[in-house]
Amino acid sequence: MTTTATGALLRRDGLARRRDPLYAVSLAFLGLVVLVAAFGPLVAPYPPDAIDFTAIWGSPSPAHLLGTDQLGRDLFSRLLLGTRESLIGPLALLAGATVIGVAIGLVAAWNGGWVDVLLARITDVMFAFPGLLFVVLVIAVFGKGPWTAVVALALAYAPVIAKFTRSIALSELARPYVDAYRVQGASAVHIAVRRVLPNMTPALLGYLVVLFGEGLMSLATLSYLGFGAQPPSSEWGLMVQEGQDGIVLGHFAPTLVPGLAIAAVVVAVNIVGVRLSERLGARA
Amino acid sequence: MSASMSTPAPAAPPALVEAERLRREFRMPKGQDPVVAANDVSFRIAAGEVLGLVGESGSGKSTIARMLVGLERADAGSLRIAGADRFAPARGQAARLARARQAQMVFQDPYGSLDRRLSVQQALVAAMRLHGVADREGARRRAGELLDRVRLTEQQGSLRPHQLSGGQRQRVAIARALAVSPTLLVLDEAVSALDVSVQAQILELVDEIRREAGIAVLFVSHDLAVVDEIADRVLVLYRGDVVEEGPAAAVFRAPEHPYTRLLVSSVPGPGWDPHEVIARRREFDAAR
Repeated sequence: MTTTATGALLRRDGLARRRDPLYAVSLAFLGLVVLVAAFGPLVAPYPPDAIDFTAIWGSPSPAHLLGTDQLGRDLFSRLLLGTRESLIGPLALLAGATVIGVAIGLVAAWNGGWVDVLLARITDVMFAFPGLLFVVLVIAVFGKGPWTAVVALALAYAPVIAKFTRSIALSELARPYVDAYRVQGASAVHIAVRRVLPNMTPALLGYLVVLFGEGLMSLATLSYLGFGAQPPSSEWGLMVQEGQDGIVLGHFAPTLVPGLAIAAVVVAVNIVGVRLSERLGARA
Repeated sequence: MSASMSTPAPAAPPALVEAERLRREFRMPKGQDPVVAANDVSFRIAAGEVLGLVGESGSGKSTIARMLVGLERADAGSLRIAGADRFAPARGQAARLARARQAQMVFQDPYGSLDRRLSVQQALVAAMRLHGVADREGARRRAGELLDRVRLTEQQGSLRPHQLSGGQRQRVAIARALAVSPTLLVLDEAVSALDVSVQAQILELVDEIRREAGIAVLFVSHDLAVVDEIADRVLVLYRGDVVEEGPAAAVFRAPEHPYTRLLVSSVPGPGWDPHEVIARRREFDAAR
């Protein structure tokens, strides 16, 4: 009797903690964004590069839900079609940065001593060098284009991830279960990659989700500056830049629509990332 | 039985563990003297014997325990288990695994010494598969036997560490150590974090394993009563020095060295006076 009562109480408490509207809304919004990235091309009423000189700087209307830009292209279609490119870029850059950063951080934490010092110096140098400047340098050498921007940003993000990985790896490696695996005769690589890394993923995952927002912003910034996506792409950062001319003419939609899209995704990703790391961290 | 076992006669049967003049110093920050965790510590453990290692915190007990399982190196001295040199570098997977089968360890912290991601069953199977039990089915069956041996149910075997109590986790840690079939089991303060009744259960289990499997045990603890309960012989460690060695009954009933006497008289009991213990401790330290 009493046990069932406390059980119910516990369950209700669990439910109360799970009810978190901001998190739910953000998650639902991100789900929608992913759907748009996947199926946007099927839904978009116009091709992204359909120029219509009769409808330049058009206001929202039944024909053009969000209006048109300086070439009379449908903003709604461009927004939908730009989603995929705007999301895949940060995803790819994060994947690259994670592989490099986690490897560096784990090796540094595991070995300690001079290896740790050496890797710390290298990451510090990369840290000290402004990320965007580094990226512009890489682009200056290898030419501009969306993939150069992704690779350059991946290199710029790697030290951040390396530092974070190192710090959580240090506390993870201090746990006695790592010694237990050593006593069992498992190899260093086996322990680090197969045993310790999976125990770190919850903390790492939350951090990476937050970094995704930053990556999206950085890539959009690069495209805005003309170093990333190139016309006629409808990547959101590039859309903001192309729509800029309209501001002086009083047409705000061409900048506002992609700008808001970037902001909304970044904010939602941050909310989800922070809540996620709280939850996963609490469980560990 | 004579109490003078510190210098074994040449004709004595070869001991399982032979530690000769183990030495280890830890360097301290500038201006402080190095801490000597082991100062020419020599001891032997026969197959199937339980050696108790007692001493206060910082006396070097854990350092010696960790040396036995290869987690700590020695500055000098030699250590052999079943004739094999433990300090020679182990090259390759086979050598590492062979060494693991010589000595296994149960750690003090039952909360951190198990991989929180694996269920009990998975942890046992992983240990056996690492040690070359090829078929998953056989490993699973042996895991069931091990669980049975440490008196955990099949259902508890499917749980993860955070769902178990401290005593149950220590049983899992013992089962995991046994999964490798070691000749020596090192228990480093393995019951210190448990409450008294659970302690007794674990001690009984260790004693049973020792009797049935003939596994030698190094039992490290600061708790004299617990060591008295389980150990055949005792080694008393004070700041890295072995100050007394002998059968448990002799050492605890008739301590010879002043430090052992101090330790024995410091154990709470009838007529125990904390002020007196502290005063005598101060006297002892001043005399050293």
